[in-house]
Amino acid sequence: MRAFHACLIPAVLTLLALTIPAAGQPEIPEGIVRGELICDYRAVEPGQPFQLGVLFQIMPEWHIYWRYPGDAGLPTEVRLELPEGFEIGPVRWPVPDIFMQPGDIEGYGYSSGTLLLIPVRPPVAFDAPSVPITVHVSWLSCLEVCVPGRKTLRMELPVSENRSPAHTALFDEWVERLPLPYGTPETPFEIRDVSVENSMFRIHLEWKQSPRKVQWIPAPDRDLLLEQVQSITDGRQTRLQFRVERVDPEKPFPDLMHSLIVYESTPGNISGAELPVPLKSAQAPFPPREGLTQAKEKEGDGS
Amino acid sequence: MKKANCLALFLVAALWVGAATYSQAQNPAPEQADAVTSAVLGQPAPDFVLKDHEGKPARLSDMRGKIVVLEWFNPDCPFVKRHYNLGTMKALADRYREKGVVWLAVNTTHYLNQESNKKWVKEKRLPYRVLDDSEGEVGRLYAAKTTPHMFIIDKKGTLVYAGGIDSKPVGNPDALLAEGTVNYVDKALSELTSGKDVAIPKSKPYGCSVKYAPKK
Repeated sequence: MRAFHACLIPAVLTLLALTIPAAGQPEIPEGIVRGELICDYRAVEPGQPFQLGVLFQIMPEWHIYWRYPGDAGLPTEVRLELPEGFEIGPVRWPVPDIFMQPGDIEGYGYSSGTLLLIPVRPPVAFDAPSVPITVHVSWLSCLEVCVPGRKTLRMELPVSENRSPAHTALFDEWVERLPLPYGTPETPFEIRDVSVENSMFRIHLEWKQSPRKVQWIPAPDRDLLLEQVQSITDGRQTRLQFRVERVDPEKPFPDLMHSLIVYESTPGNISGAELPVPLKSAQAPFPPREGLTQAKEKEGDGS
Repeated sequence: MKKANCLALFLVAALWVGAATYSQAQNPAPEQADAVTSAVLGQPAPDFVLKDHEGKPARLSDMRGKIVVLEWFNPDCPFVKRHYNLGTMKALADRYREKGVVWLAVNTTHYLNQESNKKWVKEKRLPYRVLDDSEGEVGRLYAAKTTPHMFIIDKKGTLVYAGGIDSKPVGNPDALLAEGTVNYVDKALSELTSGKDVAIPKSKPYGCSVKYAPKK
């Protein structure tokens, strides 16, 4: 009889485990995202540009988001603090992964890791033995659940007329993964035509060689709405169409909408090229590549 | 003999589980009152029936004549947690209830269920029903992408707003409301309850992705 009881317990437990639906938050592990601040030189030389890098290491299967997250999620944000007179360029984002989640929810971001690059130009002359650098980063990491994170990263670089490079291989690796700027000889396509009618944009691209697996990733501002997106590639021709509307019809359109054309450059190798969309005037010539800006750049909305 | 008893008990357990799974598979999908198969702004909102946190059925078409707000919801999502910490949803539901607005939260999170919804309602003392859509059917019908993702249906049953709760996406559950935040749902409800058209009928929803069950 005792033996019967002994087998009753596991039987009941089996029943409970199998019949009660699992309900509860999946476990959240520690250290999903690690961020580190690096520089491509060991010292700052007056007047000589350098690049800062925010190196993200992400736990397998988890992801963080690109400058535009897609249907859900939140952009990763980077905000820099540097002494006065330092020019900070816009963050350079490597080509993101495109992930399709259950429910046709399309996301753009990074899994396993990325290096966000920030170009900096110091003033020609300044009087300080060292340069303090502070970078505030925030992100949203998601798998089955989403976990927001933020970190302030700091470094202090000595000032020297004779600087030596650092992290060269790492910077080279991620520079390779940046999208090609629009309008350079390397851009693999040309814009044949852009037209707009009733907020519906049509863009016709012609490729130098037939591309594989072409996808379009838009990066609209927060107060824009994109609908009816369609991208069709046939041979060397890609025809893209989408409707752009403002959330608040009272507000004007921004001049530009950033976007990327992502394609398979060699089998298994994904590349990207910038495709800036002139929203104000579809007929205007496409703008040149973004340069360094004087103002301190703040990416995205605050959180 | 003892071994046989043990085996019999396991067999009973296995049969019970089998029967439960079979009956679940045989349950028909919620009946659709009309032929509307997807939510389109300015068109009749698709009807549905879902069980609330008390197990009582909630049918959208039974609420005709009232303004209905659908709030896509997941208690594990930091964006949702923030708005519940701020009291955003409860305050709106309270403010507009006397003006004939019905607030319904829909939980499509595949790993949650009626029990967890009930727990959340009790914990947060919610004055509205939380519906269990863990199968994801109604979420797909409305193409709900994020938590929160907000929909407003007018008295005639027309979908008049689809989008975010407000204009400033923030994921930190402890963050306060950012300066200049426009609450689109508040704005739309205020317009609707004073007989006006909704000035901003759509915006980009923001939040965690709705956690639909992975495709089998």
